[in-house]
Amino acid sequence: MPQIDESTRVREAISLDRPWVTVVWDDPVNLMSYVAYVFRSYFGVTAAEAERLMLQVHNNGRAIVATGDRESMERHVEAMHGYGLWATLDRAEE
Amino acid sequence: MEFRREDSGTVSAMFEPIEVDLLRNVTSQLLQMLGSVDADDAAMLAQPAIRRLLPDAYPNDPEAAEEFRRFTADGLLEGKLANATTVLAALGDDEPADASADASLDAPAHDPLPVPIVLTEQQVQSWLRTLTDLRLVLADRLQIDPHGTPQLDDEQAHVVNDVYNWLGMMQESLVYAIDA
Repeated sequence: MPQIDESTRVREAISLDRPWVTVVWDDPVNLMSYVAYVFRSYFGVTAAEAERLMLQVHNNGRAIVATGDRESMERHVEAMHGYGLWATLDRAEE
Repeated sequence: MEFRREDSGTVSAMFEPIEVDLLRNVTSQLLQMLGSVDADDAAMLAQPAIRRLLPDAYPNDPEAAEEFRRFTADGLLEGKLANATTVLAALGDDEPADASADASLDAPAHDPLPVPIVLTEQQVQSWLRTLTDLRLVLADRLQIDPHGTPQLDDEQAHVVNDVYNWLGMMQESLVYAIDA
């Protein structure tokens, strides 16, 4: 059926456009106060959101702090490395 | 040493002379280390301390990680060097030897006075990053495990650990001062 073909194609297109994510990992060195400060000052999120992300890093071992195209995520990762945070980029999970 | 924000927007703290010397010492070592890094030397970049300063951006894709490093390592190193240089500059010049000799002739021995350290908003940014870089390098030396416990157990471990914690307190004090 043509409709199925169409929806498959759309799904593939979406999958090709699957965004990238910036991941910040927990490390035993960086202080919680500093990590929250970096999120707030670099990503411009509220203090509460920065705290939430920082705790997610601390408790879950990692947090996705940004989603978007690959170039932007590379820019974020580079900035995080400038701050001394352990950041990587990856494809967003489906 | 505790940083406070002044009305003028600067952040300041009184440092004991021994604290100034210590921070100058470790920052100079960091500068030397950063200055010796050749971003094209794969073996050097593989050293754990360097790797922590310039981590893999793509943990599961060595090729992409390599390419990312090729495009970013020089700039990141330059930034880290500039930050450490900014920290050193704010600590002032090392006391010239002849000046202290003169002083000892004229003045009775006394405890050296605390030194005011005053930082602009921009200098604070360099300080925060350099304190992080220093702690990352020291953490590697202390073999700090994922729970934050040092595994190094030699005669210097205590001293290094004290410096590591002291740098952390300094950073926290800075964060609170600018966050307040």
